[in-house]
Amino acid sequence: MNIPQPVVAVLSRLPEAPPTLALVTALNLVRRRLWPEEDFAWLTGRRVRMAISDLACGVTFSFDGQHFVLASQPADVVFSASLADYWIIARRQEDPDTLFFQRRLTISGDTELGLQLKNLMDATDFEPLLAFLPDPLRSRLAI
Amino acid sequence: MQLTLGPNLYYWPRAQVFDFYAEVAAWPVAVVYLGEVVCSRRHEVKSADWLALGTELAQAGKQVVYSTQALLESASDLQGLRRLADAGGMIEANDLGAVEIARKAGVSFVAGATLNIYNGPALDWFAAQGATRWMPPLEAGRATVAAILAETSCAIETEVFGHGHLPLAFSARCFAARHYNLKKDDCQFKCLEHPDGMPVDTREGQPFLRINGIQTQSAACHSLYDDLAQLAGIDYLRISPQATHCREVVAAFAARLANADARSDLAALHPQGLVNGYWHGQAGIATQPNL
Amino acid sequence: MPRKPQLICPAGSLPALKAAVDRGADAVYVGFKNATNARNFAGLNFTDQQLTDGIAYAHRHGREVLIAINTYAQAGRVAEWRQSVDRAAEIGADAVILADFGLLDYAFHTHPSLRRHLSVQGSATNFAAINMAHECFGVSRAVLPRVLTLPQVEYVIKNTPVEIEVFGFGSLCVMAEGRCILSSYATGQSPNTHGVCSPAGSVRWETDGAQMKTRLNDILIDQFEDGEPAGYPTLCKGRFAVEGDTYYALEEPTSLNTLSILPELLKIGVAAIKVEGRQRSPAYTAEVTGTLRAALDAAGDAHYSVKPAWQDALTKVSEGHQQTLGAYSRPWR
Repeated sequence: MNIPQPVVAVLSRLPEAPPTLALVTALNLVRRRLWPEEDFAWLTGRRVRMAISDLACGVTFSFDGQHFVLASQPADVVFSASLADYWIIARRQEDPDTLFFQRRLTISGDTELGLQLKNLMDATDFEPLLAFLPDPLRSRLAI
Repeated sequence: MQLTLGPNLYYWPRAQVFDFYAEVAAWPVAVVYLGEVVCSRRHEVKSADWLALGTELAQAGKQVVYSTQALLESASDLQGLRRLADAGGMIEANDLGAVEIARKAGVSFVAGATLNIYNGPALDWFAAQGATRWMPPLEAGRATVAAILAETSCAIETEVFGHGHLPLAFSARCFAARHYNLKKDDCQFKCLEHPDGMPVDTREGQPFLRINGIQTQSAACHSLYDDLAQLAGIDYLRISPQATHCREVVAAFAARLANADARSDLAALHPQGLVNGYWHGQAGIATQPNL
Repeated sequence: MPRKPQLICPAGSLPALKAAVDRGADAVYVGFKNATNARNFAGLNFTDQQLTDGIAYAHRHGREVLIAINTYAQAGRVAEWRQSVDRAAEIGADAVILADFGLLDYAFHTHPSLRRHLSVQGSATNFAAINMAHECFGVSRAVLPRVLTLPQVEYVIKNTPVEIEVFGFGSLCVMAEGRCILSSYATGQSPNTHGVCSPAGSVRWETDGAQMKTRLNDILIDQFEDGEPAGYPTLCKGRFAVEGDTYYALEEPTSLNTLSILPELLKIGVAAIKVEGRQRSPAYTAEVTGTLRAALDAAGDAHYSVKPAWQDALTKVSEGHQQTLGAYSRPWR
């Protein structure tokens, strides 16, 4: 998936707050359903940035003990990958370690925090979420 | 606490080995460990030679223990060990296979550091099989050793690795042969050219590791010279042979054990540094001043 | 016709366990969320509830779950390891995989009907060691460290009543497992004590333009130029200088791949083939399990050959994009 250069130019100039807000709102909505046993103590007060390398932008978020919240840089840990590669990881089409070996995914800062997040995503069973979606969409997203 | 001389981890020419142990007879060590513990291809000194050397050292008043290889792989490795056990010598078991042979032969043994005894019940089990002395894993520090001894119910002597390059890992692969682009089966005995192993530095020039055939050691020398006052409950302190300055090191430890105020500059003898992190519950590469 | 070996696959999470079962693993091996297993990584492994669900899922499909409790019980905390063995028995594990002889002794006397496997971390490389574990603790299977040649593996099998499990695929440990403390030398934590090798908390990846440096407790382990494939930050797979040469002094970032010798492994009578990688994602478990299932099912055939599609699938997920037969092949040594 290649993003045309003019689109990149536009996207990279947009403020990061709106997409981040959308992300943390979504996380807060699904949190108890996806991670019923997880208290996120390890994420409390820590800042995570997911940088989108091909768009020169990203989202930075944190957890305040109750909710996921928007955060500012600098982050404690920074993931960096292309938008297409994030999508591949999210759909479990590729193992994140594989992308790391291929230098398509990088992690800088607090490696342990990054690993914890990666392992949480790996351990997440997305089925409870899919159950909420209308049928046609569910079959398209099925992992 | 008494000093022991550990098995020579390196590969030296035959004459050098005999010269070395001829000197050792007069050194202030109570126990001498003999034998090839690293590589079955090393044959400058054969089993019969070790037994003869052992007889001489015993006559000089040393307790002699034959150490086994840490990685017993082949049938011949096991047969060599059976011969040692059958000859009635005390052995240091550095592999579980050696424990099996010792217990079946009914001989008592020293449980080596690579048997991975990390807790009291494990130590009790090995003692029940005939271990009369044990060496904690090299990464176990003072607090860990004390905790193991506190929960064991057996009576057993404890020996700690006191001075030398730490044997950190064993492999099927020979890193010395690899360095020379040789196959292990045709290694041309390159280890003979490196009587204290081959230093391995990081790309920033930091001394880090040391290649000794299939064994990987620390570049730095682990030394408890400055920790001698904290060795309560330890019966034996091991000094691992080195090609140079070994006599001075043994003499320095003996002097300080006799007189706590004695001081030798061991750092001057070890340009790649002295470390003692393991004993203090830290990374092995760390140095904890303790004066 | 030799019996087909079991395929033993790794799972660090419930989705990975389900993926392994779905793609044809005969048994899945897992660990608790604590220091009792050799993949004690942040966020990895199973809570009691997840394990209960996982075991139910596997058993419903006629597969087994093996629980690795394969670090060494640390003095003063032995109860944690014993409780883990107790929990494994309670929740219906098919076997426990143990390394510590003190713990094996406990499991044998406390849970005689719970099958005991000798972990690769137990460093048993010869039949004398394995037979002792059999005689003293009723061990029914031993996992061999990745240090033996094929003829040596065969020699062990011929001299022991214990089933022999060998590694078939995954990141390669170049050292005798259980006999390596390189990690604690650099960081203070090792597989034997903490269930970690080169722990994440000590790892720093520094990017400088297209160059990436890997540091372990500040020690430079490796640096990768633009486009060079990276490996795990395990220090045995770093590049160092030896007498003026800078190279992978111990081992390249590489994966073990036994596809080409599966018929031989069958012939010499290995009971099980194990896949490394509990720290990997469900996507990895699915890919590798499916591939090895197909290969193992074909390996008994006289006309067996490695299909390019299998090779491609395994190449894609391999560390450093290199594969080797490891110690099974003498030239590697």
